Formats: sequence, structure tokens, C-alpha cells
Amino acid sequence: MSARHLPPSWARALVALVLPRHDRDAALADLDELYAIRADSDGKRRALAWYLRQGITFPFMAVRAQARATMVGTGSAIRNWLTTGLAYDARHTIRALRRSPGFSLVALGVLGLGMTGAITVFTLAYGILLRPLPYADAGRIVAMFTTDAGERDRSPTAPANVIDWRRDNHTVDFLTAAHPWSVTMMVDEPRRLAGLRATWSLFDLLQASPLLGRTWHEADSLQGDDRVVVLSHALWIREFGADSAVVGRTIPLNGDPHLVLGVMPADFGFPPFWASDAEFWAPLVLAPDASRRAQFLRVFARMRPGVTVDQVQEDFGAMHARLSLAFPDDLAGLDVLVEPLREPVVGPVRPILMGLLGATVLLLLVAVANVANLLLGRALASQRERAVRSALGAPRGRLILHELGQSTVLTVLAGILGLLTAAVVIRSMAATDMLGLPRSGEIGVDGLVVLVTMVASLVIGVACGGLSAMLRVSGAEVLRAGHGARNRSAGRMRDALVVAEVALAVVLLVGAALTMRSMIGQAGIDPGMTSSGVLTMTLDMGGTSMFPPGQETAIASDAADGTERQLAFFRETVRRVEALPGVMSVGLTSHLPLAGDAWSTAVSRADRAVPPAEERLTAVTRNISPGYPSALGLRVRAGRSFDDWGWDAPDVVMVNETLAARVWPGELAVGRTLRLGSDLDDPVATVIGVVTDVKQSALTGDVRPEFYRPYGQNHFPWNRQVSLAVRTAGPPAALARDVRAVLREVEPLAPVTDIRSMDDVLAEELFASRVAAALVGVLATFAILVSGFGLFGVVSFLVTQRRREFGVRMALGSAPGSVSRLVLWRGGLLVSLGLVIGLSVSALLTGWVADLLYQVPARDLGTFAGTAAVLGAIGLLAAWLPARRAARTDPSLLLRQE
Amino acid sequence: MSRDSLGEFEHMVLLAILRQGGTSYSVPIVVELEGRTGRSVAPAAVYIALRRLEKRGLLTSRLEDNDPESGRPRRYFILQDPALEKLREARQAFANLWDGMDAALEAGRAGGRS
Repeated sequence: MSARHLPPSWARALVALVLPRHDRDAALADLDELYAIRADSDGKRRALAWYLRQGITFPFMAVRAQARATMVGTGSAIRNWLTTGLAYDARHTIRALRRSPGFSLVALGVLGLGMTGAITVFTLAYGILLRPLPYADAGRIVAMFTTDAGERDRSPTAPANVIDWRRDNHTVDFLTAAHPWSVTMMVDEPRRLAGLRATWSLFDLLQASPLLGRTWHEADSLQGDDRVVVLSHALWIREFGADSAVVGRTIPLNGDPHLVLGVMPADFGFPPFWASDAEFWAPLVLAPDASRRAQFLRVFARMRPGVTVDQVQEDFGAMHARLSLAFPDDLAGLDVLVEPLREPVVGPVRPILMGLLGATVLLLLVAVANVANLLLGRALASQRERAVRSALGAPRGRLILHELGQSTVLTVLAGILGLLTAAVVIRSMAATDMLGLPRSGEIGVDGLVVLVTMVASLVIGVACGGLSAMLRVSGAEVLRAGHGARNRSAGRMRDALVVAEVALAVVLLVGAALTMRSMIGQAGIDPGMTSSGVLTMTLDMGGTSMFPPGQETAIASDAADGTERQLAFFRETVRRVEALPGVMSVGLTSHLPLAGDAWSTAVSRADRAVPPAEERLTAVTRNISPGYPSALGLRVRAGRSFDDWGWDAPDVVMVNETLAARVWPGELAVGRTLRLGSDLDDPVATVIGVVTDVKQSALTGDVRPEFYRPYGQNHFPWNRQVSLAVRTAGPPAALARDVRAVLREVEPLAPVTDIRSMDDVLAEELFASRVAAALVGVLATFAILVSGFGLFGVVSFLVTQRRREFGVRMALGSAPGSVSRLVLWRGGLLVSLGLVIGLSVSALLTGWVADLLYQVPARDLGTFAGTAAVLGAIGLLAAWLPARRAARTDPSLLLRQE
Repeated sequence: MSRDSLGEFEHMVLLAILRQGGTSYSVPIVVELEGRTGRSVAPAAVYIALRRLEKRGLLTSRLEDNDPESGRPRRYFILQDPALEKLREARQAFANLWDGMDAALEAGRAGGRS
């Protein structure tokens, strides 16, 4: 046996797709061996061609064998055809395709491309939206959120509510609450690790088994010590060199030793949304007297058998109603939302994926109409052959099956082509994480995708061939009239197909234009700050002396000592970074805009009584240092900025315009007093300035009321992270290394993460919609070309058929211009019909995409008019080329030929 | 043709296995058939025929996850007694049909050429 030659890995990957799943490895090994034998005797190139051919013969023969087996005993014409005629037609079609490479290239190329797009997006949509999440019985895992009444904003929940939910519910088991937990692990240098703290039931909920060691369970909570941890596979490889001896050892997390219980397998990850970068899992203990206000826990649970999501929603809604009566101050105005775990994971990308799926299906339909048209053209050209066969006694059924067989072979070939290219496209998309889609690592062309594609190919093949097969051939007429015979029903069919193509292309182009306009609109959104020239990064202070070990389990509320040290650290950091050459200003904040969660608290006018809970206004809040407004380029609308006040300006806040307008409508906010909380004795602060609205969590979202407090009044003493915004004179990236070095000097124990320019943060926000718009744009361009090409084919054929008539007209004195007008008129009529139908359908359909659009009306007149103009122009061009040919007909030459 | 008689290709595949000593896998069968018939043989066809023969009880198969010879997975097919019976029947039937036909065949060939 020769082991020297192996087929290229891409070819093996492609062929592997079509091999029977249960015996794939053995079959692949056998094919490798045969490839090696052929490479030895015939050379590598021919061996590769042979190898790739096996990718077609395997599914083809398998389908045929299946058909034979199931059709045994039916004895019908169809069975005969399937067992012998199909093979004959397949050979005939492949021979015919080889004979006319132009036709085959266009037909296979157009259809193959349409298939590729549709298969790719179908695979993505199926893999992301429909395939169960990778947990045992994942369909029964639900997520619970606290929301503002009547909204679906999916906020976290307060620990006291979690405790009550767990005790009082009747519909779920293993109710688990979790919050992200970033720690510093000191090995040689400080590393920031992202993890998740979850109540003891986490692994009971997920029913996941570890790769090494064990996980923790509800029963372990009785043992007492919660300083245990389970590692992810990636963390185990990266930080511990895949050393299995790590199980049973302790590792220092934020300076506190934690016992490693186990390591999870490579494909395990939790949670699948929000803190999805978690690389370790540690237990969380909720204090019995925990807060009912501090909302920071995400809640998950497993529905009991036979229970539906609606029943859980009802159960939790009723519990919430009871709790709201008992604790009106804390819970009024809030509500509970229960959703399948899949929903928060894939919900945000569903509209984009469905839009893309719609676009690719439209493109596929355009391609199908085009190929049907090409096939009809060919059937017309071979009318004479069919008439002869029919006259010689070929049964009509056999002729129809022949027609169907030809088109089916063509569409199945296109389907295989589409599968192969889609597999490559999806693999490269997953490798580059192109769309930033969730779950993209799990996705690939699988058995279901192959099955759906093959069924679709067969249906398309039968539909396309059916049109040709329906052609009425009146043998006598065709034979009498020779090649020039016109077939009215076929002509009408082809006209209808072109109209359909144009109409579909219009719908696609309108969709693409709307998406692009919306994208351009988003790129032009004012984020409320001057983002260019700003470098941002985040420091984690969890492992430093500012957060001594032992404060981990409960949130410390009075770490006065730590606060002092934090402030000293902040001042020193700002002083040192400001001294770097090229730095214009430096600001610190508890969290940067557009970078994850925004924290909020209730606010009200301090000169009035606290409003009842249901009228309460909540506002986003940030701690900032004096330099922050100028570093981020916030624009002061009224009053002054902290820049002028210093670190510990007492009892003052800056507010955004939305807050000013909501709390003091029609009045000046500067100088007024704001109550920061919902109790009468909560702190009160004076508004010293009003700044423009800065986008908080999403560029396209609405801006919520917001206020800024100086760090000196530190109201998040437990917050272990601080972010820097550095305004630079030159490109921000050039300073990243220097700033980082300074931070290392000031506090060697605090790891620096998320070093990005603010422009990058904004670009990332827009990335997915930009890619989606580009994809739809490519699809639309292709649709325009294909439909233009279809029109060109039909009008050309018309000119060829009526050449004799045009010759006679011109011989009788018609001007060439009038002949070409005749042709143009015909083409123009088809295009106009297509435009009218397409625009009407678009107007009906665009309501569906309205949700996807940002500040563009779904029935935007300009977009519709522009689309009509572009497609009209291309349509006229496609008709004009053959029209010119018609006008150049030389009557004498033509009549002499006859 | 009745359902339990051998098809031409099945007949060829069984003979190829017999020639390999009654146990073989798809590669030597393809090579054997190509070498003896001078025609190119699709592995898929061999594969499907083997599976069908297995279903009919004429062959059994076993999967070697890590074949000692190649170090890769390999599925071996083993000829069963009913297959030998079928082959004997087929040979007998052909022999009966051919009996005394050599002269006629030679004559027909000569006639066709002239």
C-alpha cells in the first residue's frame, strides 16, 4: 500500500461531506488508498480529478440504490425510468453540458451561486436559531430577568428576590443566580481572569460532566467552604499547561487561595450570553439578609417536566405581584420576564439572519427563474428533435421524464456545487468570526443541510423541467415550419419568467438599499462625545491592596480605608499619565460608555416629596474624575464641568440633557438639587452642569437620563474596575504601550485589559450591521446582473426568431430605427411590468423589515424611485443590445439565405 | 430476474472477494475488478453492492477502528456460505447454458466479421 500520496485536505473535507455518516472514516481511508494508487499510476492531477468525481458518484449512486430498493414491485414507468432512464438522462445531460460549455457555465454558475448563498445562510440560521444549545435537555432551561414594567429590557435581579423565587416557585428546579467575577491571578505577573460566580445549583442545572476531577453541587454547600473553583478547558491549557495535577491544588484568586475541583471539557461554556467569556466557575453564597434593590444577578432555572415557559412566567409573575405588595418601595414599577435560555442568546441576531435568509431566498428565486428561462430556450431550440422523437412513437410520458431528468441533473449538480462552496464559506466565516455571531463555532454543513439542499434541488429541477415539459409540441407544425417555428405558449412563459426575475430583483434591491441607507444613518449617529483621538483601557484592582482578600463573598459597603487608597491611586495614575508626552488630558470612570452594562439608580427633585414608586425615574450613573469630560470631549450645554472642580467636589453632579429635561421640564437645571435614591434621607446633590447626551449601551438605542458624580464621593466602593480615557495629540494606538508601562509602575498588581481606541469601540458597535449591509448589497448586485442577463437572453432570442419578419419589414421600407424601437418596446414592456409588480410587492413586504431599519421609513420614496431607475436603466440596456442587432439586419442577405 | 439471483456486478464483487481468500475490503476489490475487466470501477458502486450483499446475508462485515496494516479505520467483508452456494449455482447455470455452444459462437463471430 502506498502511503506517500494523500489527497489535499480541502478535497478530503469536501468528499467527507457526502460519504455515509456511519462509515465515513473507513470509506475515507479506502478512498485515500485508491487515490494513492491512482496518483502513482496516472499522476496527481488526474488522481485528484478522480477523487473529486467520487464526491458526486457517492450521493448519486446512493440515491439511485435507495430509489431502486423502495420502488421494488411497483413496476411503473417511473421505476423503469429511475433505474435505467435516469442514468441515461444523466449521461445525456452531462454530455450535453459538456457540448455547450457556455450554457453549462452560465446555468451551473448562476444556480450554484444562488444555492451557495441560500445554503450558507440557511446553515447559519438553522445552526444559530434552531439547533438546541449544547446543554443536556437544553430546551427546558430558562432565564429570568427583572424588567421595567411593560418593557423587555432584561435587567439583572436583586439577591433577596432570588432567594424568595427559589423558595416559593412551583414550576422550576435548580434556580441558579450568577454574576460575572473578574479576578486577578498572580503567577509571574498579574493576569485578569474572567469568571462567573453562581449559586451552588449551577452544575445540577446544567447536568454537565467535567473532563477532570469533579464539579460542585448543591450538596457541597453544606460543607461550608466556598473557596473552590472549576476551570474551563481553555484556561487549563493556557495557564496550567494542561497539567492534570492542577486538580486538588489551590490557586490564588485576588490573593485568596481557591481549591481547583475540576476542569470542564473543551466544548463547555456558560453562560451563552452576557458574561460568555467566563473561564472559571466559583460558587456564590447569597446572604439571607441580602439587598432587594441592588440588581446584579442573572437567574437561570430548569423547568419541571411538563411545564411550559408560559406557566413559569405566570408562576413568577404571581410571586412578583405578592412581593411587590410586601416591598412596594423596592419593587414597584418592576416586572419579571421568563424566557427560554435560547432567546437572550440568539434574539438579537434573529432579525439580521432572517433578513439575510429572505435576501438569499430571493436571489435563489431569481437564479431559478433565469435557469428555467435558459432551459425553456433550449427546449424551444430542440423542438424539432422532440417532434421527430414524438413522430417516431416515443411515448409522451417518456419525453416529459426526459425533460425532467435533464433539468434535475442540472439542479442537483448545482446543489452539490452549492454545498461544497457553502461548506468552504462557512468554515472560513467561522474561522474569522466574521459576523461576530453567537455559536458560530458549532456551525457546519451537516446531514440535515445536505438533505434540505437535495430536496430543494429536486423540487427546483422538477419545477424548471416541468415548464419545458409542458411545452405543447405540435409535431406537424414544427416539422413543417422548420427552425423558425414560433411557440406562443413558450414565448409567454419566458416573458413571465423575465417579469418575475425583474420583480424579484426589485424586491431584493429595495431591501438592500434600505439596509444600506440605515447603515449609513447609523454610521452618522452622534455618540455625544468626540471619539477620535481617545485611547481607552480598563484596570482591575481586585488583586491589589485596595481590595484585601476576605471581602469577596459579601459586597463591602463601608470600605472607607480602601476608598482612600483608591483615590490616592487614581490621583497618582492621572498625574503620571498626564505627564507623558502626547497626552492632552486623562479621565477616569467607573465604566466607559458603550462598554457593557450601565448602572442605574432612582433620582427625583430634592425640593419635592419622593414620588410614588410607579412614577419614579431611574438614571444611569457613573463615577468620573475631573479630567473625564475633556478627555472624552463631552460638550457642556449649561453651567460648568468637573474639569474646574477637582476630585472631591462635595455633593455636586453633572447631568445629561435628557435627565435635565425629564426632571425639570422647561426649567433651568443648573443650581437645582437632585435626590440620588428613592428614600427621603438619600444623598442630595446640586447640578453644576448639563452635558450633551452620550450613547450609553448601544449606538442605536435611546439615551436614558444620566448623571455623573466625582470619584471623591465614591458611591461604588465595591467596584473593582476603573477605566481610563486618554485624549492624545497623535494616533491613540501609538501611546498604548507608554500608558500601560506607567500603569504597571503605579500598581504592578493591577492587570490592564481592553486597550482600544474609542473609535474602535464605535466601529465594533456598527460592525455586524455593516457586514450585513455589505452582504445584502452583494446579493442585490448579483440579482440585478442575473435578471439583466435573463432579459438580454429573452430579447435576443426574440430577435433571432423574428429576424425573417424584420428582414421583410426593412425590405418593404421600414427604417432600422423603427425595427429597433419595436424590440426596445417589447423589452421595456417586460421591465416595466416587473418594476410595477416588484415595487408593489416591496411596499407590502417592507413592513417586516421596519424593525431592522434605523431612522429610514420602510416605504422610503427615494429608495423606491432610485431602485426603479437603476433596474429600468439596466433593463433597457439589456434590451438595447439585441435591438441594435435587429436594426442591423441585412434584408437582402437574410432573404437570400431563405 | 428474480430478487434472490445475483446481479452481474454483485457476481463480480463476490468473485473478487473469493479471489482475495474470502475476506477483503473495498480497495483490493476495486483494484481486482479494474485489473480483470479493464473497466474503471466506481468505489461507490462497490460500496453499495457490498452493503446490499451484507443485507442479503451473503457477506458479513467487521469494522477495524485502527487497522494494524494502515493505522486507519477499515471495514472488512467476509464471504458467507450462502454466497458460495450462490456462486456455485450461478456457475452451474452458466455452464449449462454454454454447453455445446463453442462452435456456434466461433461461427457467429466469423460470420459477423466477414
